[in-house]
Amino acid sequence: MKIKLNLCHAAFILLTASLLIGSGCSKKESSSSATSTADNSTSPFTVSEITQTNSGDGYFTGSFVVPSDGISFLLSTHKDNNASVAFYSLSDPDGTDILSSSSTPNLNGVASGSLGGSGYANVLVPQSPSFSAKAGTWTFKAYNNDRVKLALRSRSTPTSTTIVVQPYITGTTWAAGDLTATLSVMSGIYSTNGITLTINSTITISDSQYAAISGTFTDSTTSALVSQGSASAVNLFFIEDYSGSWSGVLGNAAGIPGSMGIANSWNGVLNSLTAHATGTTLDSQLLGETAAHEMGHQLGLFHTTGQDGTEFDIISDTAECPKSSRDNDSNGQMSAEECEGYGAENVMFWTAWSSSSRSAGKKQETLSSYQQQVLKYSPIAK
Amino acid sequence: MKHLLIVCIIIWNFVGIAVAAPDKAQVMELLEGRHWKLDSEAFQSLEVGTDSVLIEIAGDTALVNYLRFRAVEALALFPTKMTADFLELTAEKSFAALSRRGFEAFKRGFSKTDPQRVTQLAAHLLKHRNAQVRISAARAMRTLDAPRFKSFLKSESDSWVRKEAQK
Repeated sequence: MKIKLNLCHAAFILLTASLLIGSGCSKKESSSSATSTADNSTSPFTVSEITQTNSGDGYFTGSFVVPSDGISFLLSTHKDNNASVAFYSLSDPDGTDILSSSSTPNLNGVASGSLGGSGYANVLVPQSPSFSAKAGTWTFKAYNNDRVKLALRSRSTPTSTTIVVQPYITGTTWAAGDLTATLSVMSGIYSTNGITLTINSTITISDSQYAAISGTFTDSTTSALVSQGSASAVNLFFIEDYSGSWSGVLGNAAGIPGSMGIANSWNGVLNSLTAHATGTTLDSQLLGETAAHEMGHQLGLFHTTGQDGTEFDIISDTAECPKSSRDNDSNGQMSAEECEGYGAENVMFWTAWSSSSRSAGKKQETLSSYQQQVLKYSPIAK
Repeated sequence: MKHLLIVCIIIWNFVGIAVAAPDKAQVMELLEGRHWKLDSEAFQSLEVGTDSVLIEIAGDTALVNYLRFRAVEALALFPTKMTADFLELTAEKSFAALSRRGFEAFKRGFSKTDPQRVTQLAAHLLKHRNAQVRISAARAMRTLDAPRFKSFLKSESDSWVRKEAQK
């Protein structure tokens, strides 16, 4: 398994911050337990809040049961004031802590629930075929938080997979109809890889404050927009533009993965329309690839190869493009052209093909078998 | 003979410039990436003439916007007179999304060396018809000229614009 070791430093800082915050707030004994379904009472996808107990050492502990027909789950920790949150441990029914660096396999330094996040962090099981949502009682230890929620998928083993997608559009330059070709490209990409997308009608959000927003999901305006997303779909926000320091970004997801089944600030991805346009003509292929890429992040897929060719995903069957052998121009950045045949064709490669390659017909439309498996097992999939 | 020498010097200078400027493809590669962030070190390690290449990219209306936007952002790293003139013109005359980026790059590149010129441009853009351009100008004005920023808050009719400007 490939691990993002260079993230450990960030993890240490965030976890230390969380610990400090946690140690200062020890009043909470437990939170109430509630269960709701994102679809209906017979849905195989349920979202519930886990009762936690203050263990007296600054942590909160809790447990949940994965049934014998359990397929996947997303365990998330929340802090309403957007302070750091994280899990200290998450142990499977065999007692293996999958967030510990000494376990094999593990998500230490990989899952946001291990690294820590501002206001929200989670752990997805399975985030690669090396993991499974084993039946039985799972236990966790969390840093100070307001609540821990479990999105659990159970019942039928994935054979044919459907994911419901809810697109939204903001601004006045483009209308819902302008996204038809883009959504078709995105749907085609997923269909080629064995996943059917049910794409709902695009919802237009006309409030002018949402035309250009920050890519920071804790920003009050971005949060207000993304929180409008559906709890039973993957929400794609086609924003007219990014604001501020996000001005050079094509799209971004709320996490790897983001939230699923809960209407909150992390329940969707952003895709910039203006960035994908020449004049006012949208590049539907590129925008469709970006939307497919961001949706991949939202569902738990990492970049197959990172920008500098030293970071790779945790999936063992994806091609890698290492700097050591492929950075032909020695500029420290792996272009798609340098990585042709080494993963540049993958939806989750860190960058798109250059404009000249795209003009020559190059596309990013493939997912590896194991990447497909992560999506097919996703809690939000059916 | 004297004229021939002058012509030779001119030609030599042009050749010199052509050789010194980085390859456009080299610059373009640094503008790629879905989650792009300005890599100052990479741009500054390029040869002299990078600003000219960035201006060419930023001004190319046949290019997809994200490349133009990023080229504008990178120009802040090359605070020459040519860059200042280009960014100022971009902020004043381009479509709103590019105008805002032109102003933000101008602010980053020239706030310390020519705050008066940045203040002047910000004051002009406070009246822009696009709300995002006004917000960007107002955020800059908050540190450049606080009384004028307060005056903007009083005159701005959209409450959400006032709120964003104060973030």
